[in-house]
Amino acid sequence: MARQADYQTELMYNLNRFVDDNITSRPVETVPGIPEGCHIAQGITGDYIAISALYAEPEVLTLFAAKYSKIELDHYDEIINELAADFLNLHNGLFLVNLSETENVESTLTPPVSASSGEPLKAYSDTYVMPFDFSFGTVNFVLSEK
Amino acid sequence: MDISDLKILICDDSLLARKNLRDGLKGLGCKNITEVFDGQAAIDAYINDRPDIVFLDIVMPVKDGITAAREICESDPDAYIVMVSSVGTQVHLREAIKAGAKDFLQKPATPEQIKNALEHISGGEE
Repeated sequence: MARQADYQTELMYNLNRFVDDNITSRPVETVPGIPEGCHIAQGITGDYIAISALYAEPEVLTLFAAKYSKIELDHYDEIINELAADFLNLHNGLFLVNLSETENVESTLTPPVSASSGEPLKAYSDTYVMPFDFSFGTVNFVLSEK
Repeated sequence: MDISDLKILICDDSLLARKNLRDGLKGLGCKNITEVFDGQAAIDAYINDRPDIVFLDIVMPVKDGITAAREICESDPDAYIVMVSSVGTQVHLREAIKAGAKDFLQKPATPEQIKNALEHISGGEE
């Protein structure tokens, strides 16, 4: 069952809660596959199956990670990806808790992986890009649902 | 036992989660804190150091936290394990308890929750 809209709603809430309360979501794009250049990806398995990922310009992701972690960060490196992975993991976990509590849909997560150095991520049938505009740039979240 | 005397093991693959937990514990006066990054390392560290309390993530590479909790509790049924996870569903909670965990904190864990977990173990040993 398609849950992209619920995922996006909860993502907006968690971005507001944990990163920045001044953000705007842009229209969702349906895309043929997971875009190249994703920094981080995380699988969702169980009753609901999907792949989540995110990408942004390196300097934007650095500012995103700094805002989220409240750590001073001035250049893009692997730590930025780790911090972005932490946010993705936190959001996905909270999304699954909500799914479990409201619909008895039980899923779990696989460990986040760095997506930029490995093989291209294989998409499921429906793949969406959800862009969110921050004051410092745009971060794109990807959800590919089975 | 005083909270500051507790021997604590943190196991989480997330750098930020480890930092937040470590900062929270240090803020409570804890000094003896060991950090590892995956479930197998947690088992090894537990067997070597016998910490008083383990904060254990669930979703981790190499070996997940539920499996690690089960193996730690098989080696020491009195192990005091607190699962700390973003995936705090009832299913995960039940799995954690079945594996031997004594408590479960939904990420992001608050300083108050961390303090409560420590008071439980330190009070239990008085």
